[in-house]
Amino acid sequence: MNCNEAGNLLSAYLDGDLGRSETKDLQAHLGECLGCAKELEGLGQAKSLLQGEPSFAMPPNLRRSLIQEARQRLAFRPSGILPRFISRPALAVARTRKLAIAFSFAGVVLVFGLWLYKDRSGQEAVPLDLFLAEHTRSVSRVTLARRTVAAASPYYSLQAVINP
Amino acid sequence: MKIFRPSIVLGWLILLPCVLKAGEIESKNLFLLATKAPSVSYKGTRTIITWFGSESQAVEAKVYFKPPNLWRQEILNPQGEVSRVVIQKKEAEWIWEEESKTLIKRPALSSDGFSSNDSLLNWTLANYDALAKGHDEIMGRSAAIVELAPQHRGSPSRTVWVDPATGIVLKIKQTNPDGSLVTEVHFTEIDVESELTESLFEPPKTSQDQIIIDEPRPVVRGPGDLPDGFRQVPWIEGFPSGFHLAKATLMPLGEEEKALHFQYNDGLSVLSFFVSPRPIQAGPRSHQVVLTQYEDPGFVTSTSAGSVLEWKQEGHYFLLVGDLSQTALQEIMEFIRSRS
Repeated sequence: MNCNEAGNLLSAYLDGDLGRSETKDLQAHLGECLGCAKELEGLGQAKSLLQGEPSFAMPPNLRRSLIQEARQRLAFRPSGILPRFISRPALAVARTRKLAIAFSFAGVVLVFGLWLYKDRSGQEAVPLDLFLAEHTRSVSRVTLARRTVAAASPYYSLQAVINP
Repeated sequence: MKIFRPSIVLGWLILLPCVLKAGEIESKNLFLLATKAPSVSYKGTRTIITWFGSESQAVEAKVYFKPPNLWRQEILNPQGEVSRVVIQKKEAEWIWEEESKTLIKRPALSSDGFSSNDSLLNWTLANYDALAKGHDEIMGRSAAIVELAPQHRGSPSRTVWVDPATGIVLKIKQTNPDGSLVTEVHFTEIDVESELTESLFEPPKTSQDQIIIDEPRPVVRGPGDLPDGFRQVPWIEGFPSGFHLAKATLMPLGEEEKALHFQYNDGLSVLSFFVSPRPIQAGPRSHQVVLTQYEDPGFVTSTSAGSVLEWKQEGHYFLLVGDLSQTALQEIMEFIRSRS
């Protein structure tokens, strides 16, 4: 496999879309070619960034027009005979009730999620990554360095390990 | 001319085991050479590639070694700047983190990972077949290829390219039990017998508040030393798949709480067995803790956390972490259950 062929396969490799034989050929080439290995690393970093939080600011005009469009679509527009019997204060009450129902539903979902997150015995679960870091701690300096610097506390910041 | 004379056949039958034995001794000697610190000084650049799906990565590092035990490695970022420096000098080791300007001090890992520990070498030879796989040329230097093939199903395998003249490991490849590549380390340039000044192996001068001392974990010396709450946990010296208990320590989970950490080794691969008083939350794993980078000068024990298996037993939460296949981990789990 040459560099051109490898370059065409890098993106599919990162997405896990390559077959076993193509993967082996590509890995063999990357093992020999530092340029392609670095290209893979750069591509991987770019993909990770794109998967993270986008930091592009929306142009003000586009934002205004989107808000206007949303307001029009979401506006409560009773039709037929009903509007004649519903006053404006009644509409406000109806909206408040809808909001209350929506918040209650969200609350129930949140409580259920927290219940699932915890073990049924009521004990707080320990993240798996803490054990994996401990596993590699004795030999791997990468884990050790990140962990030690993250916090002096033995129960260190998990975030620092996941997103160093 | 008669080729199949009885005397010739008999001669071959006598010679063949000798030839095979000689090959076995040669591959074993090459393996032992790869585990020892090189006999000459060198400096060079190595590429370290680790494979973990979309999070695969390649890192370049500058390496300096002076026998018997002075070693320095500078990890470079993609811009080619030094991001971390690891220095080993006799019994101590320093890790300098450039970004946070922090210096970590700890007892040195042996310069080649484990050769100072004879039992680990014996475990490797008992659990893996050292096979000579011919010769290769790397950066203009002759390299003998030795493959360590596992005797137990579900274990990883490793191939090393060692320079017979100096003992320098020029290349390492490690594969998963399914044959896929996990790690590759190789030199892209090397200068042997280069003059290296002692100052290269001095830790950077820093203020006291930049230094962090890495304290070792408290050791549990035997079943009688198990803390309250863990007295019922089985104390297992080894598993049928060739793993031996190397160390038992206490891992902190908070201010007071602790988990038990049994570390097993088969000579090439590290297996962790954790016992936690609290449940273990599964979820996406960070590749930084799954993969370990080969930031050592030679042949090191692998601590890749490629596979995990967890279960609940008698009020405790058990976890196995290692480089083995899921089937191999399940066999170990059954063994632990049978001993409880």
